[in-house]
Amino acid sequence: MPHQVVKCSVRGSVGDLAKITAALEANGYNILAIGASEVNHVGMLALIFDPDQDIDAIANTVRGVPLGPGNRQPEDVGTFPDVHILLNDTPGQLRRAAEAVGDINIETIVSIDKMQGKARVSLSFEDEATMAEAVRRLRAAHIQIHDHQH
Amino acid sequence: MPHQVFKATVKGSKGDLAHITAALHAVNGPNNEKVDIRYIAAGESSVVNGIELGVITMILEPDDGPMENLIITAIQNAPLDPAPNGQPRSVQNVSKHPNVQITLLDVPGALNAALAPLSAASLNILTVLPMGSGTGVQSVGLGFDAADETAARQALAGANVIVHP
Repeated sequence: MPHQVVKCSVRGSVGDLAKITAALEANGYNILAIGASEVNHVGMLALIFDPDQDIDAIANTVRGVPLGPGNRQPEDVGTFPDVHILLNDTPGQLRRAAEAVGDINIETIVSIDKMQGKARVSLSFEDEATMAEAVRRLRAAHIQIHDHQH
Repeated sequence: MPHQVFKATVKGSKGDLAHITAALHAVNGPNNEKVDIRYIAAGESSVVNGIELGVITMILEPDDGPMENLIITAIQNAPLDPAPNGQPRSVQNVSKHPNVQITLLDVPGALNAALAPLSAASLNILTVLPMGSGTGVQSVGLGFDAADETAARQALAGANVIVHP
């Protein structure tokens, strides 16, 4: 089973991210990597966990975080299967991967760390079938796939 | 010199990432420098009025001196595919912000411990990016408005978070 990325949005307020990470900490979930940004007071988060076998429970934890007045909670919470690719640490490598994926919609991208002297990047997709086609295209373009299945 | 974090939005379409990364790859600095995407995070949301909105956040090298404007111009002018109705699309809200790099123990709760003092000080975090890991530690980049950077560094250091200069 592939790993999953948890993605959500918040209608921005200062401190939302801390509330979400506090709830995750309280349940003992380990965040492997996080990407977050805000635009026009809407924040978007992509969270990768290790371990993540309990991904539905993790997503439910995120859904239930009270963010403040008006019963505000994270919205648009979903889980998406991801593939980890290993890219040479030189300019232009992510472009190669993005072009290989082509017209497949990438839900989230998070650069995780360096592994085997290469940059490890998570790409998540709508479902496992879409991810499988993306992996096929990435392999065809000689993009190295990091096997991180359970 | 600390890195900057570059942020941009697209009203979503498949293939936008490839166009943006290609535009960055085409940048040539005054001494033929090429732009390296060191760290990246991006995601889509349909929360804003049902519009599929993508936000991309990157730390790039080199990003100082004349490279800064070259990078911003390249992102702004990335040739995106037209919308389904034929309307032209472009990258929007291209901005840069100070990036504060912190190093955390690789244990559950470490990130929350770093974020709590920022929340207590009402400091708005604009971006969060992983910036690599070492044995037992992880580095994270936090982006702030320029006006908040000093206060953010102070709040983090006051909570005994390792803050990179």
